[in-house]
Amino acid sequence: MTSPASSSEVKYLIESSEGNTFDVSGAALRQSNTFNAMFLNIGADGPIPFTDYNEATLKKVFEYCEHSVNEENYSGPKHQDDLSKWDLNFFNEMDQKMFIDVINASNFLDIERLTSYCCERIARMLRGKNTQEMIKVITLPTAEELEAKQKVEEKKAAAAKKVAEKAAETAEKTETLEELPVQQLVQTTRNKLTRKYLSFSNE
Amino acid sequence: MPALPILKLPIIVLMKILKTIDIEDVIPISLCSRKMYHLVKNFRDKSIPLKLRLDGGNPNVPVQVLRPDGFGLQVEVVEGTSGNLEQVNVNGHLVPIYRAGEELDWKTYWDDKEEGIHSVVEYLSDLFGVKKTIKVTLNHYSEVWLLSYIEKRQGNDYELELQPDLSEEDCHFILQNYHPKIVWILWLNPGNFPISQYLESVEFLYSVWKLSITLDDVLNTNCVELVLQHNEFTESEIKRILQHWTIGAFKRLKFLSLYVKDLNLEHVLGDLDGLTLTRMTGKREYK
Repeated sequence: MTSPASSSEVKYLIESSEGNTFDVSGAALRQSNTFNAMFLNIGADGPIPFTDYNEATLKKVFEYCEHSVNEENYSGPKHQDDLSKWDLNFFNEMDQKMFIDVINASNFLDIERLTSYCCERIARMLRGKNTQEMIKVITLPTAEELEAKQKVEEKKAAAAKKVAEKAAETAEKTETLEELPVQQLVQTTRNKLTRKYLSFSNE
Repeated sequence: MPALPILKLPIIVLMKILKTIDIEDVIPISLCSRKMYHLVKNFRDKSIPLKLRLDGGNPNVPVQVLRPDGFGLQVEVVEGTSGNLEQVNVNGHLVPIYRAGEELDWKTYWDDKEEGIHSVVEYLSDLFGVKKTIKVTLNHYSEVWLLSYIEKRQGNDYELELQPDLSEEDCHFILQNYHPKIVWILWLNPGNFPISQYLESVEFLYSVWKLSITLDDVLNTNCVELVLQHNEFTESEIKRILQHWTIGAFKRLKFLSLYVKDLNLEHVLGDLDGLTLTRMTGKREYK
């Protein structure tokens, strides 16, 4: 962590899942409630590990934070139609995977403004769609897929039931042996051995 | 169309998304699966109170979900079949549904209209958490069965709106046999309908049409709110009503709105002792 004279110019080192580190300004980082709760008062000795997220995702998230440093305090979600050109470009240049990664990282870092904008964007993607289109967008299983899944689960349940029944049967046998008095147990074992022997001699 | 597996997102994010979803998208998303139904039912934006309205003035009896500002969406119950439409599960019934673009109007197709209306009302009532706030609009005598259904469902705790095509005879039959707490009279032919005999069970009466109602009827009213937009009362009658109110003789009345002509308010109010008057600031709107 570097610490120049002005606190607004303080830079923090962030570590990504690849082990790479990069600088983020204190002002940008303070938009993260997670950072505020964990490091703001006690400081950080080395790079701050946000190692559940890759460098590209973290850089994208903090790019947003750097940009909105000078914006007025957050006062609830803004309608997408009211977003600035910069905001729209920011969202439009992300592919779907990056968008999902950014939502997850923003949620973990608890950056309220970015998370809300992302949620509003998803709500907008669903706007005006019929049920089938929504099922496709949110990738829910179709009725056929659900039926197939149910069949697999039924098979699994049946197999598990069989195993359980067998185990119960075995346990019952063991229990019966354990319950016999010692003398009777010896006799039973002898009989079994004799039967085995006799059976052997008959062959 | 890009895929967005929102169910794989953290639950807090999912809750925020569902809270952000517009009211008109709540229905199609709820129909995606049982899981989505419960998620959207629990996490949608509940800050605006909603009301259900059964529009018996329309042959397809749309079940409407209305906001206080009058904005709303509706699900129509069409009797009959339809071509190759997507099928959805409404209250355990697999039915075809049609929505044109981003319109706020869905058409569902049912073999039995009554069963369709029951199912749609129960579905929307549970989804939007509107248990009893239901207004039934009647314009044709043939839809009177809607009142039987609602009274069986929730007793007399509902609103009834009487519309122009009902005859005086129809209105008598309706008010003799059904007892809504709230009555809206938007038009009555030929007018001067003798409403007073039915006022005993009514808590709220709003009429934009002249009714046959006397000063004594007003003085004996059991209503909590009485709005008579076209019944004329004289200055002395108004004074009488206010004196009655001042001595606490109205059992339940909290709001009264009457049509008056050539009224000198100072004359009327000057004779009322021990009364503190405050001018109403807010505008009362009826929708």
